[in-house]
Amino acid sequence: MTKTQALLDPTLGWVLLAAFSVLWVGLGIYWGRRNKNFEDHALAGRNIGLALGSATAAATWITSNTTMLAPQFALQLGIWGMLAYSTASFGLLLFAPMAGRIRSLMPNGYTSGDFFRLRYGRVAWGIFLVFTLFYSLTWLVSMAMAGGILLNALSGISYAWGMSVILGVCVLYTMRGGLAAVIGTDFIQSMIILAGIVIVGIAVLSQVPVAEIHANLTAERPALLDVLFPAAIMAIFNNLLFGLGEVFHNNVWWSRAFAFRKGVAGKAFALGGLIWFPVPIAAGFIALASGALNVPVPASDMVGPLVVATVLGKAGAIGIFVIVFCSLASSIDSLLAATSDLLTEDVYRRMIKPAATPDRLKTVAQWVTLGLGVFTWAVCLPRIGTLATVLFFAGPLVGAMIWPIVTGLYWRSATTTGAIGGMLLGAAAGLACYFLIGWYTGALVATAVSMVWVVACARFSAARFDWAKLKESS
Amino acid sequence: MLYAASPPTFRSDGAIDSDTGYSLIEWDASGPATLAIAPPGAPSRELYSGSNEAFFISGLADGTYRLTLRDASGQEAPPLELRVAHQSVTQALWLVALGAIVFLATVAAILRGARDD
Repeated sequence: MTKTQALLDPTLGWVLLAAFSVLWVGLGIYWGRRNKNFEDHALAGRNIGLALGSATAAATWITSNTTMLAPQFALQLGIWGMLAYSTASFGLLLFAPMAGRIRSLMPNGYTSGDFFRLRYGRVAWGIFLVFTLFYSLTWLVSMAMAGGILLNALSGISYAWGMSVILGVCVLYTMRGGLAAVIGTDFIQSMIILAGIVIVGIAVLSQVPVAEIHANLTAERPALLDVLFPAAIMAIFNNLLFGLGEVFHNNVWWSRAFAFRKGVAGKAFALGGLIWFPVPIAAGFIALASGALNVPVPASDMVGPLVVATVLGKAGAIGIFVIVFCSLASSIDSLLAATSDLLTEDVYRRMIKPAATPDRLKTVAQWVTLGLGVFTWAVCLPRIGTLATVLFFAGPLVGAMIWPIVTGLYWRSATTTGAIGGMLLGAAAGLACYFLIGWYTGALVATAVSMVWVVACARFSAARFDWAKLKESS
Repeated sequence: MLYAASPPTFRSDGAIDSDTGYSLIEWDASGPATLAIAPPGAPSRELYSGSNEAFFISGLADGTYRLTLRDASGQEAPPLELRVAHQSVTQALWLVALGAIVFLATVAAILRGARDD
């Protein structure tokens, strides 16, 4: 084991954890009061405005990965690594026009699964469900594990307690408040995260000038400034396409597209992407300053907190604790809500109980959220170190879904054969390259293979899809 | 009776190879230790001194680096070699080109929108 000291006293950590837990659960219960049926619970009554919409898009995308992994990327892969991470904002920016299209084609839609079922049929829908559940559950597990690990590293709170509390809090307020609570808390969380990152950036710059950081990197870590750093330039488009695949397919984003007021979705996602874009750059810059600030880094994923604690002292340690808690909560709650809606709508309603009433569906969604929480907790408890890395296997799976979704939304000629083949061939080729060449090729090759297959099938197809089939009544 | 503390030791059994220019260096020591690195053809410089038992090093250019570890009493661990050989730039540029094509095609498909509605 690597020995490192916690930045905060455990008692102070518990006080902060308790204070924010009470705040989120209280707000969740308050915002959940108006939820009368499944539509209110899952889609916040389809009435989210621009301010909340933009904030939730940015906050959900600011995960603990953004605040922890972006500095790690910068420390490992330099300037290109930092920029590669920020390319994930293209996922939100490009989803902006798609969200408007989704809203108009599917005014009664609930989930991304609805789209696959209505557009491509049950086989494609089944493959989509397997891919998306693998991705969502591994993302959920990796976030909850990260919560336990980070709270332990920051404050000395034991892994099991930290993970259990953060997961329990998110389950409670998501169960009670549904998407309205998730989006409301996201708004507050995004404000805290953005303010924290700005303060840290200014503090770092006030302690060490950019010229000194550059001189230190040139002397001691020259590859981080190298324009032709092979591993870093390979990561750029792989990361970008992974981000596109994550946003385009996942119900976290589709549920927001359905929940935003008419005419708001496009602007909200575009603004969310613009708000998000500088966050990994600011977080990455902190890591690049570690050498000039003489901050020894015993583990690459701890570089962000260590630099912040060095620059801002105890106040910085408290700040990073709060930022990490907010980043984790804003992603875990969204995943819980979106995955429970997907299971309720696509599995319970479509496969088990088509005649279920809206009230019944709301109750089922709440129980599914609780079940997901218990499942995640049970998987996370043994703290299997390699489990979080499983998320990276999802790169080829999500990359392979980009073209079936894009063409399915815009081309009448896109076919079921194209979608099924694109997903299966793309995922297989991507996974093969992931293991044979390296992680930096998985999503890229999967998207390329899927694109060629989907386009070829559309090119040679005489069929023309009737868009009205997507307007299924609720 | 006094017992001499055992010297610090690197956890890696042999030389470390890296194709990314970064690596985690870990060691065992009974107290504070000093880690130093000697780049190819250059004098050794101190990387870290303290009680941690790991140091993440990154941004190294191609070459063989010699790492040394010494405790407060002056006892040294056997030196550790870190060999850095970055991946092929040609392969990287081909993958960048493929990525750019796929990305631009995706952007074009979205921005072009539905032309046959």
